[in-house]
Amino acid sequence: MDNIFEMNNVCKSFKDFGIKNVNLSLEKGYIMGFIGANGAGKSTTINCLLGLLNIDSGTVKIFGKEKLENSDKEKIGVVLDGCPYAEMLTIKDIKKILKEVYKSWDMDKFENLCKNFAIPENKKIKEFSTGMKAKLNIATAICHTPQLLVLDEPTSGLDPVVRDEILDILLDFVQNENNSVLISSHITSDLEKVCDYIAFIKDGEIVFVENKDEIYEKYAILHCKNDEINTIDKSAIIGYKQNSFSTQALVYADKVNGEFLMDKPSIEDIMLFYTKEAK
Amino acid sequence: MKGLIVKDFLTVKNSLKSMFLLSIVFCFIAVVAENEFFISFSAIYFAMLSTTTMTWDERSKFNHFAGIMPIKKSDIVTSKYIEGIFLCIISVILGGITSFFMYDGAIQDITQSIINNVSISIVYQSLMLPIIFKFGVEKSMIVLMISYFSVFFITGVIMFVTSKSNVEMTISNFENLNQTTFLILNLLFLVVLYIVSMLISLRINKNKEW
Amino acid sequence: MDIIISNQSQEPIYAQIENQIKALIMQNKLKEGQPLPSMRNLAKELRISIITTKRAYEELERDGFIVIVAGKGCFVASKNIQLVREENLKEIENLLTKAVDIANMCDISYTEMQEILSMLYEGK
Repeated sequence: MDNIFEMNNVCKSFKDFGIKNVNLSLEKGYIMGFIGANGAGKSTTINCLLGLLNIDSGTVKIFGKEKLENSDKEKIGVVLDGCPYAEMLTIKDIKKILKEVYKSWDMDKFENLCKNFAIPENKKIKEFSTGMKAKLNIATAICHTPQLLVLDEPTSGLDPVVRDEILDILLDFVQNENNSVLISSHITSDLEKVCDYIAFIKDGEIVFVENKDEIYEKYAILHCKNDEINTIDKSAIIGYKQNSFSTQALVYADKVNGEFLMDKPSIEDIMLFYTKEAK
Repeated sequence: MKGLIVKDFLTVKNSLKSMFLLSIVFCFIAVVAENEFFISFSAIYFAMLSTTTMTWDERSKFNHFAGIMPIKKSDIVTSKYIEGIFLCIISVILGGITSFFMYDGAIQDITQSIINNVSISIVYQSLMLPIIFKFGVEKSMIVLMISYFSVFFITGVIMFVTSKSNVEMTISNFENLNQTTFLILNLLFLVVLYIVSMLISLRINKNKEW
Repeated sequence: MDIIISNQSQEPIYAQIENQIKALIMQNKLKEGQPLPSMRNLAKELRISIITTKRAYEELERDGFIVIVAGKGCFVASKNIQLVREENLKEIENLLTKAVDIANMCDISYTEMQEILSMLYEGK
């Protein structure tokens, strides 16, 4: 298996929070979506992966190495929370800086992308809207020809049209089967469109890492009457919610005994129901 | 490394321009008022630019993101010290030109004035940079305030000491030799101070999780 | 090559792709030796996972409809179409056997079966 990155039993704790025994790896050529509630540990996991946080235990490897050289960092494109440039800088300035920082900087690609995204050259960062900052971050991440893209909520604040463009960019990116993408997002519909794998983290622990297609086969949303929920095998139910008229439950499709109305679950459904765990 | 220096330069580009103009004004005043005090201002202002860049780094959390850029961690420190030398040179040139006019080409006085400027610039940076690396800009502000006032004090002391030694030297007739020795020792002290400061900053930076 | 997939259908997407390509090959709209779009390209165009297209292609290869040549791409298989046709005929025979068994159990005549069959063909 040719993994572009591997996290094995990674633990990192802070005062009142932490991630525990995180096992996460991704093969070359695929896109992995990373979902979880706010505070579940997505950003911490990503920071540990990138070496921006020192881990307490476990191992992290990117490109097969535990310690990254500068030549490896050239091949990693990152979008994190925030914009790392001082507010008085303009795109013109940032171009000059990144050209010196990255040996593999592709100026033409960046300029074209800025044009497509309608990011003005001479405007100061402090005058940028959230959307523009997000577009800038994505542009800077991909324009130094990386092999691995790690994106922490890159599309929050962007309208559906731009998000669609970005999904296209990601799909283009993995046409090269040496490239991979790890993308965390609350916009699960975006992830549903392009991801090959979905990893779900809750309270600092990975709940599952599944092939997206298998998720649709493995899980289902079951609809039944409120008094019927007790007739279903407890081990089949992951979580459920009830209203005055009926019950919806997230179940393991093959463990359900009996005939019930079952729908394909969306990734959002899975996230929601996992947080309403069956008592 | 070059990327970091370019970033810092572009960040303070506008400040540099206005400081330059301000310094020229002060240098004119210095020549007219025949008071060296105003030349020192240029040294202080330019020296403070290195701490300004660190303020901006902190606000934009650049050093955090730099962890995943192909930038050596130590470059975060060395770039500041290299910039510091440039800033010192700028203030030296300005001070040198001003004192040339002030002292009508008297080499000893001009040299003394230049060394004063270099001292102010190097001492300021040598003290401030490790403190800011360790505690961040905000906490270092108190130290900044103290150093702001102490810079005046130090300048005053230097001027007082040198004027005193001038008097002594004319009396002793060994003026050239003593003056030169004094200057060389002064420069040596500054070089050592700067290098020690950089080593301390490198140590602090190595263990820091930005 | 026309492929239309539906997210709403109960049929898994890989199966939809698999069946549509099979049909195109059987109808000779995809000729022997003709190259197919790469798995990645198909995934990108249809906005689905590469794993899905990979699975569809692997199933097609397993059933003998296409060949996947490492480093070169995927091509419509040349030799086995005849065999596959025979396979399908076998499958039809099996299904019809089941239908005939049920018919016999509830006394449905051969003529009624013929009517049903022509109705089904006309419906298509």
